[in-house]
Amino acid sequence: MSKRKSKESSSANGECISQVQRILRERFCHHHATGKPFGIEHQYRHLLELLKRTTVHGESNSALIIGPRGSGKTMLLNHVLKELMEIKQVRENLLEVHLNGLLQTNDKVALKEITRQLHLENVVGDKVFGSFAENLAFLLEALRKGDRTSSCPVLFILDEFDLFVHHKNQTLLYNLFDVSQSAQTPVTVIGLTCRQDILELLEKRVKSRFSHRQIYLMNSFDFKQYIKIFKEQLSLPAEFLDESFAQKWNNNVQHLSEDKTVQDMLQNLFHYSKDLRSLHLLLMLALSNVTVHHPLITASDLHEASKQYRMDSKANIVHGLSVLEICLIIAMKHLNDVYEGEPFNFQMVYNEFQKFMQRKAHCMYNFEKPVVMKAFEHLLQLELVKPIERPSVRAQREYLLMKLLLDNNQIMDALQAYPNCPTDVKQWATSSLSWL
Amino acid sequence: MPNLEHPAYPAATLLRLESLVPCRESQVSMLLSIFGERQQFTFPSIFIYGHTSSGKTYVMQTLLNTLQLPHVFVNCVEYFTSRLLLEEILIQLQNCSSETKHASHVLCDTFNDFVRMFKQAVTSQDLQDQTLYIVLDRAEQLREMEANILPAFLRLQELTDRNVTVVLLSEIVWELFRPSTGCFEPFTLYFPDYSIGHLQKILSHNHPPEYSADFYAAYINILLGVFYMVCRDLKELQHLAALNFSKYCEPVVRGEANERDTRKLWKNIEPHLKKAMQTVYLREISSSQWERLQRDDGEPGQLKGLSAHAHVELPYYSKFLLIAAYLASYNPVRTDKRFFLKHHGKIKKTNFMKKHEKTSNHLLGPKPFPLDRLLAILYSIVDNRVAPTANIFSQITSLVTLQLLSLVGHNDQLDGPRYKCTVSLDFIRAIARTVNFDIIKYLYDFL
Amino acid sequence: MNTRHQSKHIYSWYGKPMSSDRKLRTLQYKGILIKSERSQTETCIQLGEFVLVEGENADQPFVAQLLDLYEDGAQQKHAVVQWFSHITEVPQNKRKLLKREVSPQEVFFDQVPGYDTDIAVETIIKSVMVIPLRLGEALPIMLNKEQTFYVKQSWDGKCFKPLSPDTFSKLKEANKKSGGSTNSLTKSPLHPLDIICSPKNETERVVRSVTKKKNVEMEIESKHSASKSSLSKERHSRRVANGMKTPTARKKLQLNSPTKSPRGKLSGSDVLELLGDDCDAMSEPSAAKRKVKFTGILGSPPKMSCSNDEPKSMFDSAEHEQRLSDTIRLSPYSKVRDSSEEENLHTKEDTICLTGHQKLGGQSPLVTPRSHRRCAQKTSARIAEQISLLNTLESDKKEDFLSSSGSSYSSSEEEENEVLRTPKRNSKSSRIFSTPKSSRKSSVHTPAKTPKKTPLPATPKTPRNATPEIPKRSHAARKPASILEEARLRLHVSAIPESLPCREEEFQDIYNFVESKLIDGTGGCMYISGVPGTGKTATVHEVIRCLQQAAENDELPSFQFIEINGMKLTDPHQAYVPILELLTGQKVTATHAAALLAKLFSTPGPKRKTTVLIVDELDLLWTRKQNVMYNLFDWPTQKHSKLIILAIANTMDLPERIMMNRVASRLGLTRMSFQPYTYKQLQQIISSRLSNMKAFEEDAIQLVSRKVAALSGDARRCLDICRRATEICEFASQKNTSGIVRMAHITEAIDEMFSSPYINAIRSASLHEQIFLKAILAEFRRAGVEEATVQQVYHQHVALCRIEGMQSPTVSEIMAVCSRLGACRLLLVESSNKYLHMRVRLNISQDDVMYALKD
Repeated sequence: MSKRKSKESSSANGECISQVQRILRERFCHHHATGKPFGIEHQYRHLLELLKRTTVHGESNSALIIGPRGSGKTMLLNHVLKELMEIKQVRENLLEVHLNGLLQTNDKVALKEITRQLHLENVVGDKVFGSFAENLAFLLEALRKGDRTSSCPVLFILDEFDLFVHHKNQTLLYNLFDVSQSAQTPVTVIGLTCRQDILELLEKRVKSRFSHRQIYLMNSFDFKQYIKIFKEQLSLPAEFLDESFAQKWNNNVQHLSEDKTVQDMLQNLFHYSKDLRSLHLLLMLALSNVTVHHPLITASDLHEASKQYRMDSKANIVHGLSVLEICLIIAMKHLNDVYEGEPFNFQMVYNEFQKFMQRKAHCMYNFEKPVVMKAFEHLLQLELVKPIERPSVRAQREYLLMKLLLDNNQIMDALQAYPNCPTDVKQWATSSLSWL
Repeated sequence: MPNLEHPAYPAATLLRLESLVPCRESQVSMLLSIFGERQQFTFPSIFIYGHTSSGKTYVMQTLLNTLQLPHVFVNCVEYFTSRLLLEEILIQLQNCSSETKHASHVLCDTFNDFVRMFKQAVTSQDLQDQTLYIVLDRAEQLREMEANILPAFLRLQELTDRNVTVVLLSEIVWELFRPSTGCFEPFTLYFPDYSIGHLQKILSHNHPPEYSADFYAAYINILLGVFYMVCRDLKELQHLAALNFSKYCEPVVRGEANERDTRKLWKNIEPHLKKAMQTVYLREISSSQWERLQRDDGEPGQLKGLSAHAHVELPYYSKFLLIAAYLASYNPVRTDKRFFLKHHGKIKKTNFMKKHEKTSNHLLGPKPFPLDRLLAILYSIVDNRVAPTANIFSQITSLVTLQLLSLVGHNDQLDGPRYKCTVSLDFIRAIARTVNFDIIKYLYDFL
Repeated sequence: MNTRHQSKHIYSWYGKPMSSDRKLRTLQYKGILIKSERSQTETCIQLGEFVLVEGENADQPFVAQLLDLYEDGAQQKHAVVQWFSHITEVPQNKRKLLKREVSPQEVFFDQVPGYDTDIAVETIIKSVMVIPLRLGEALPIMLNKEQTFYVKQSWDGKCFKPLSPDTFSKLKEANKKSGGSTNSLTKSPLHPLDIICSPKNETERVVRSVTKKKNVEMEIESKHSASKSSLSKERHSRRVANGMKTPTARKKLQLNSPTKSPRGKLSGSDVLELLGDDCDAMSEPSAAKRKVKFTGILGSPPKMSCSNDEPKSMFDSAEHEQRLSDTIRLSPYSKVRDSSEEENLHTKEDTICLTGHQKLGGQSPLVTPRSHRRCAQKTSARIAEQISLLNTLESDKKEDFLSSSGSSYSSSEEEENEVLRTPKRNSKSSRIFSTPKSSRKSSVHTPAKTPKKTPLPATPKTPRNATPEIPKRSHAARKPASILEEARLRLHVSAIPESLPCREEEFQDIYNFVESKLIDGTGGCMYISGVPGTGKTATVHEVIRCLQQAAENDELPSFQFIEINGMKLTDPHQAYVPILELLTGQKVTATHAAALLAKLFSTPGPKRKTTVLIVDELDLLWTRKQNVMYNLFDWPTQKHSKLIILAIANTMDLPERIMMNRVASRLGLTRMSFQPYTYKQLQQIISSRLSNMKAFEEDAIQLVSRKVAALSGDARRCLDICRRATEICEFASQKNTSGIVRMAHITEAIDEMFSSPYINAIRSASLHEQIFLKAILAEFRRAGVEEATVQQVYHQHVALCRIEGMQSPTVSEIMAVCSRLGACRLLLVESSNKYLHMRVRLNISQDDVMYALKD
């Protein structure tokens, strides 16, 4: 098409594209995953009822939402809360306290945070007065005073629940669960964790106070549904500003979902991991290629993305090594083969290397030991080689015992890809016996 | 090469950017497309790994600066505790949009506080509408900090509920970072190493004005010819190039050769570079020393690295002590009889057929030995009688303090102290030569 | 007041021994000289005078009359006294017996049997005045309130009687003669506090009485400052006020209508004479000024100033009632604390009572509509009534918290109550949601608060005015609609059943134990153990409730009940703090508290009640030196500490395991262990809770109780399962009509709670994850050990993939897979920085894995 034409067309769907980018990026990268929950209606209803009862009847409760990472625990909770908040009576009757094991690393911090979020009266600005003991007493007193019918229910949400288990004496958990099991201010404690063994981590008194409600999220869907999710995730909403474009886009998505190669690629990903985050990552990568001149996602984009996604990182690193370093790696490989993966030290590696050099002296100059040592230390710095005990001052570096953090297959693959590698180095690597 | 383009930014800026990052266009365009427009969301966390000096830090910095994206850039080695790190981020955040550098100190020791202050800072700097980038260089240091720091950074977007992206830069692959309880997986991006062509191109960029470009290019070519095998570190190579160029063009200056005949120049520079590899490349002499040596053209024979300085001056008996220690730590105990027993009857050769080559003590390193064995060997190798006087022992301790010997194990164990000899073979041979003692004859590995 | 304790006192006899008893080898004396070192003064107290005697709480000395002074053989100085009891010493439930409100200055002639009247002379603090008054006679005005008390009635532990005439006369002439003698001596050691505060009052009054206008606006702005400051502060000042409102208000009543009770005036005046001219010089002018000021408010033209205050003031009073009521409800000690605050806030008294005034002025417009209806423009009389009303109102509230049966009041006052109470509701609710943090965060109040409350804001300590409470909910909680909901409500663990089935004998044992100890006024320990959820704590609480009931109807001596829970403490040593606070209302650090408690329990306190202390989760009070446990169990063994400890923990052999001998021996051998519930008991528990509600099938209940009894015998589990079952039942039958819980629901609930998640987790894992698990099994089989490195597993994995004919994953992917499995703990993995060499173990049995993976 002519230049001028392309100009105006581009200006036309310029903001269409940016709209697409905005919507889809939000969908893929923003944690409030707006994609609607899939195949978890039962859990959804369970949780919804639970929280409803808390707010409407003031019934105390406690529950754990358990599922592998990226199985949509937080999403489920967010959706339920969203729906609840549409009910007026609920909106005005619920206090939320959000905690995260990554942030509140001990009960002291956690208590301060709770007090802050509840706006109790020992908070000024965002300062919480009082010592740890005082805060605890204060909070407990506050909760103790309330009762089922009159006081406002409190919803405690503990993300990364398993981290709270490691706090001293599990004081916080004990008290929260205890309140939830006694006639005090109605509270509901919701824990989110990815650990299946979470119940075994609870101290027996704490465990006894926990009403054993567990909501399991296994992303248990088959490949068909996966494809369906793929389509849903990628297609544009109906209320898109330029529906003709949206039409085009969605059709394209439909085609993609039917494309054989795309399906294979997805199948691969599906086999590799079921969690939707990896899918999002892939789609996001593909999406980022969409521009005015390239307005629709193509199969090739997806393939590019998946290639990018499935690189072996160590192989990449090996690829960047200098020839000398490669030689050292090969020497270590041979040592591993000979001594069945026993740890080795620099001296041995150097020895191997020397033997190789004496045979194939012509291919490169004879490096002095310190130079080789420097190369070796570079490998150490890249953590391709790892000392098995902490290096100490008095130990000599060349006798420090090491292990190679590479598998033979990785080395071989890397060598195949390695640019202009000297042939006899290749031979040396492939030769089963080190002295051939 | 792919010409950078992006709707969000003016073409001029992109051109300038492109000119600033030679041989990294593909990565930059990748990053550009991932970042998207200012207000659009992007990955919550990006993990960029690649070799030493493959331009990770440089590219990120230039990208963020030239496009004037709001960002915080922290080196985790510089701020090596969580507290320092978090506070530094907050401080930079305070004056990231406002040009007035008011370094008001913030106090923040837990991640909880950090998140709270972070939110406040973002709102106060009104950055809600655009993506904020937090770049953590040398991210491997994060593993040394508290367990919650790394996962928390990876989920920072969720924890703070702001449009923020954390970029981790490291030389080490992501697999070695992953916490045992798992975490939010970042998007990992690989910065490939520079190919030899790239190196050539980049190194040739900064050629001195008085010489023609291809003259310098030829020089770089030779340089790479020598060093490329050993190291591909761009910084190293730049350093070496700068150091040795004067030497390279000496003949031209002296008028012995013109810029054309590369062969002559090569003959001139090549040994010189070899020498450089053994000395300045290993930092055994400082670059200033190196330049001095070149200037007063001390012919390269003398100049030697530390590795060559093979002997220190020691008292007479200390030397024997050291030798004895070396023998004690590299010879098996059972062979002592054969080596040191005087007036011993006829020797059955058979015992001393060396077995299994591979377990040579010089590969496995020194073994610890008790004090009395050391003394016994000492008495046997020193001809005239030495009394086990105090000064022998004091000399042992002084050898320990010189770290020629090392005391292994603790003093609290019942049997006496055990030592190791921590000197290299070359070193001990040099010592032995000074007291004309043929040590090889006494070493089991060299029978 | 504490200053008194710090300064040393020397007690010596006054004069020669009057008489001596050969047999008992005692010497009677007629007086005692108290010489304080700090202020070089000495006071002489003679027989028949009235004295303050140290109580266990420093802030509340006992009042008594000296009857006899003697020195026994061991040169110990003794005194025999006639006790007077303060209103706070009268048990709550008795206070309602006297149908009037009592000022803190009033005491009762004590005829309670069983109080030791023989005390050590050293416990005497100083002499005071106790002035007998006729019943109904109003208290005259006194300035130094610490010095003077009034006695109207006698109290014999059962009921109040008016003073018999002879005791009355005796008392009268007693303080007649004492008045003469003490004046000369006690004048010099005037109580420091008075010395400080009286001039202050003086100056303030002077300031105020400059002009009407001035003090009007002064009050207004003081009012505003009050309203500006945070609610909590407001409430605090109120609370402080109520500690002393009653006296001040009453005082005002006197002032405003001096003609009202001439008798009171009279008695007041002759007391004034007794006390000497200086104090009446103090009081008279003040009285006059107040009167002036008061009228000034009455006719204060800026009505708006009042009117814009009135909702606030209304709300204040309402609020204040609220506070008052629940302070009373919670514990008498909070009241004590008030009085202690009263002292350090002594200087504030004036401003507070002024605002009190202002408020009354402010209220008048609000009530006038009604007043117009009833009586016409007699505003002044109305005001007077208002004031009396306010006072009576408080007492009224106080009382109908104590007894639901409201006391006799004129209808008008009742109506007024309505008027005054109604605003409370909406004002509260509005407070919750209309003023959220914004008001708290407002920069206006933070400065207004910090300088007042915390003089140095740097020190982060809880503002003492902050009241812990969760906001009220705006909509009432919905009542259970269906049977199932009702059942769920009753089955909730928190629901307190009317009786505890299946724990009768445990209950009896504990009850008997405590009861016996109570009756013969000694101390003791009991150790109660049992696995979680066997109703230990519940039973003990039940016991306490019954005992308190018994104490109220005087079947038992009254006692104090304190509970601490090891799990609710941040550190074992913190245990002392709540105990001390509940005992004496002092808030101090742990170490200090320990010291005070040790002193408290080791020294004989006159009139000390028995204390019942529950120590829950005992094992958490363990410290390396075990001094906390040691102290706890040591105190009961002390002679004078009437302390009963019920220690609860969940392991039977705790004493043997973690306690060192000296602790274990003190714990003693009274032990009791709660056995896990049998299925019959559980069944009974459920059905008793359901109490003939047809929500469950019989065999359903049986099933659940059998199941739980087999698992743990934990009643909580049982109830939780039932609750869950009801929900499932609701799910099943959409319409909440035909809902009855069947076996099926129970079983579903049970599997939901107890089935191991691993199998499902494996089944729903991705293909490569499953292959990885297979690979692990293969590797285990090959190596014959239950542990492998990722590298080995990786090779197996690749091999398996080759067999499956699918493209083998890269090492990065394998690592990711491995870490995912490790994250949900199907595998146990090492830290990942070992990369290929990190060791992997299964967290489930191989059979389970195989079971999950087959087909």
